[in-house]
Amino acid sequence: MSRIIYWSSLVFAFFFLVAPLLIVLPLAFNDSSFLTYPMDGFTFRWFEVFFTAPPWLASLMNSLKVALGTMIVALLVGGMAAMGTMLMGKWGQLVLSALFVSPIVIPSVVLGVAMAYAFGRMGVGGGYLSLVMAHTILAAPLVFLSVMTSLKGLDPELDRAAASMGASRWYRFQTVTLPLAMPGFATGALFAFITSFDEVVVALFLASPQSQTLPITLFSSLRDRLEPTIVVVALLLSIVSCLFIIALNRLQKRGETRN
Amino acid sequence: MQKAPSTLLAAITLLVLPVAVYIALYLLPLISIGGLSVDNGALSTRFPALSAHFSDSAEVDDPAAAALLSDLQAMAKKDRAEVGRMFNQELGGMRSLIIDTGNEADEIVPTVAGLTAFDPRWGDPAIWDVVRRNVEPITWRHFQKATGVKPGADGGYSIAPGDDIYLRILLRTFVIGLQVTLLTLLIGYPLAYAVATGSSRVQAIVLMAVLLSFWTSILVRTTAWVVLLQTNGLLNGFLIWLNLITEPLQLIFNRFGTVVAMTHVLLPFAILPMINVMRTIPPAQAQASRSLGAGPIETFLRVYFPQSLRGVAVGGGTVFILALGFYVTPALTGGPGDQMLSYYIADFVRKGLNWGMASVLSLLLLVCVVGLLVTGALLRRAFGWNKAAKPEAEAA
Amino acid sequence: MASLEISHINKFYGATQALFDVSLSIGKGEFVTLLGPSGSGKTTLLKILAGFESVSDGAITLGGRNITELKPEVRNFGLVFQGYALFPHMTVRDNIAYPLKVRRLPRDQIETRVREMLDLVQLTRFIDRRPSELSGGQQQRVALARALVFKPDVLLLDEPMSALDKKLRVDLQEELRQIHQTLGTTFINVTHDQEEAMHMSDRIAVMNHGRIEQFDTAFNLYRNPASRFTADFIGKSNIFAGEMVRGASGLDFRGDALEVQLGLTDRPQGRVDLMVRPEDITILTEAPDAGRVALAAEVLHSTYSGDRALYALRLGSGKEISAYGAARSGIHAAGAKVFASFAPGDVTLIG
Repeated sequence: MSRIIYWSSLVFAFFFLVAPLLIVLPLAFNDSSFLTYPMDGFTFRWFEVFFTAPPWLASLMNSLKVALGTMIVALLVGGMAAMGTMLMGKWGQLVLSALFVSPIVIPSVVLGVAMAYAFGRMGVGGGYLSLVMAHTILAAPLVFLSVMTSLKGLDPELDRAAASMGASRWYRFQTVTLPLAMPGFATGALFAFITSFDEVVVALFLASPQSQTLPITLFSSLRDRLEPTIVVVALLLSIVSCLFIIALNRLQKRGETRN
Repeated sequence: MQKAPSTLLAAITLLVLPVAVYIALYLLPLISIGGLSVDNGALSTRFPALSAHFSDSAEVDDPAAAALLSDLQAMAKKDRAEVGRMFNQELGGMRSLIIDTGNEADEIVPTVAGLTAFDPRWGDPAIWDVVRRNVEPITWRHFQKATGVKPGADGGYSIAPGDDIYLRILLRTFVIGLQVTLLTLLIGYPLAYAVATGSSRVQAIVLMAVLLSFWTSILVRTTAWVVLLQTNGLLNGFLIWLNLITEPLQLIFNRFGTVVAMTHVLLPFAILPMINVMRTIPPAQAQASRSLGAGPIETFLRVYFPQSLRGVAVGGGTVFILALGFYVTPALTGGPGDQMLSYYIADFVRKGLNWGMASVLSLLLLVCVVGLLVTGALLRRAFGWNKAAKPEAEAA
Repeated sequence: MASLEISHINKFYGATQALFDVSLSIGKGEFVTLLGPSGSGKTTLLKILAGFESVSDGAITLGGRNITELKPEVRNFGLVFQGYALFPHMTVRDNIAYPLKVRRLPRDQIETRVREMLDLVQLTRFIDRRPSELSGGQQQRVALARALVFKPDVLLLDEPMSALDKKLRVDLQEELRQIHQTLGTTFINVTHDQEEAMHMSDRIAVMNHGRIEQFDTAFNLYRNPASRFTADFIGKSNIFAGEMVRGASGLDFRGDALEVQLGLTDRPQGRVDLMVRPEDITILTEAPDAGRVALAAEVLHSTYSGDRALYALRLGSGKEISAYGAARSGIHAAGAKVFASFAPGDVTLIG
């Protein structure tokens, strides 16, 4: 009896979790222009549309540019924030951590309004730069958290061991702390990239027609009308997420064998 | 160990750039929302003389009338129309009054009597009240509009029926948030339970599915639901094929579509904290309970479930707070009656560039979210649940 | 003679005092162990020696030079950590080379020194392994090599064996002893394991509640403990509380239902503890000749360990003592009436 309850609820919940994407994504290869089963035949033609139609391809390129830019800036900002915070006392750490993590809890719409207005006043509204700036604020907390986690996970004895062997503070930081925190930086970089690459709400407020990212183009065509290219985009974005998880897993495994 | 001065110097060196970036790109924009919500620059800068007069005295006297007329004279025709339109939002008829007065400003004697002679409405203190309120550099106009609360003539406050539209939308936002939270907890619990207690094979499969879902963009998952739920979409097709229905059901652009899609999108945020907590419950406890004579259901209800409540609370709180700020999913799967506060914030900016209203509603949302976070922190402390589960860290 | 002088060190943590007026004089090349139960202050003292903790007052000098305030990185003390603290992202070679790279030695010299050290600890074939690919004992030896490769003035060992199993521990004790003899470096070891301390050390500082109870050779600690704590902590002991009283040929011991004729002339009268080690007690079935002390006792229980048996005995006074007995031809049964006998020359007076 209890097993029946457990398994039926588990199967239902699991189905609800995975079925939507598993059912919809194969339609990217459907030969018909209607998004229905049974499939009319197998085709790559919607992929061709994606890779040749200007709005799609251009927005993909914009997304990559913004995500890469965000990754670099957020890594710098979040990484330095984490290292600086680690060096502070207990109360300094508390206050700084709260500051650096806080953008996570602010609703994106609020950030979008605030940034659209403020960036416009600063004269950087609308372009690639404003998107990188906004996404940096969204991504830096994740970099901060993952670098913080790896720095806090370090065995303090290692630093003491290095000191007992004569290494100065800076030399210890370079040769012991930084290399051991590397997985944290790498994880943070991945977080930053995917956060920016998938972000839609803030981008909606900030992007000009020339700097539209892929999620924005997907969002507006979803409001417009459903066509198979949309499923192609969803599939491609899902593949990026899968690659991301694989990379994350690799990093985690490497971290485990080291420690 | 003590922090040497050189450590502090290194810390400050490292922190300069991040703090500067956060201030410039994050704190200042957020603060500007606060300013925008009460900013009356559009009106007060057009009434420099009158604004200066009212900052000295509240009297409606001849200098006030002269200041009003000189300000109206200085304005371009287009500006007068704009000002009139904004005054009109508060009191009907003011648009024509401003435009007419402005057009004839040269002819009117610059005294109160002269104004009243031109149009008797200028003798009405209510008109002057509106003018005075709106030429000041800060205004509570947006807050009044957002809450529907209006100052009455007797100094009290009242909410006129029909003016509480944004409070109703806030209520709707909370209701949808609660519905979604309950559903995610209900559906997420067995999944979290499976990850925490299932065989290693079940654990691996379910956890992989949860993480994939967590890291797949919200937009992609919403897309899947749009495709599934449309009138001639997959779900309707399937139901018709099963002969369960003959006519397609309306599954999207209504509350059903919104709640189902949001539940799916937010599901991982409920599951991950529950997994974190359930993993700390030793399996030996269930075995002990069984060996002491309790059946599996009794064991679950009396031993396992109470201990997992902390995860349920954290997961539910996370989902609820995230749901309050949702924009994309309701915008794509809901009807006009299912839009949440975020939608109206975005609408004010995208349609009318009405930064004032967008800011006030943003503040409203922000206050709700921060208030809930603080409440959550206080509750955690009260229950002694200080080990906050971090979905991000777990997923990493 | 570059000896390490620790003089009058006090250490406070807020209001609680961790070390009370600790003084030790350690000769160059000596192998000294700080021995004590947990909370005795031995680890605090080691951290102060390493430079990770400051002293509240007192001084440390090395060869006459005051090093009390020196930072850890300029002390030139090697340190073997309890958990080894090997760098997980470096190979064995890079771990051992680390202090030499810090000292900017030429590359070929570094390689030579690293190989010498690996020879010494017999780990040459693991030179390119990572610490995670080594066993606990091997990691321990890498940590030792790393702490010795830069020829430190003093090597500090913080419970180096505590993570190893007993068999390995004994092997490593022997190895450590040999390495100490080969290099002639001053070793200061911290442990709570008295056997380890006695096997390896030239001298042992017994610590208790932040004080040095006694600093002496293993033999003297065992045979002539200066305090009741040392007598109890090092080995098994039977202690009788009593006083010295005037007897026929000098002072004799009396107390705890025991009288021992000692005839001492070189000590004052007054309160004293008398200690007899269990191995100095012989268990007899009949009363022995005069000249030996004999106490009627009843066997409570026994623990047989092959080569001998340890008996718990109850004396007529009700006091319980322990004694080793030969177990070649059988074990005294519980309840058996026996005599516990020892020679007056085998007792030690404490206090």
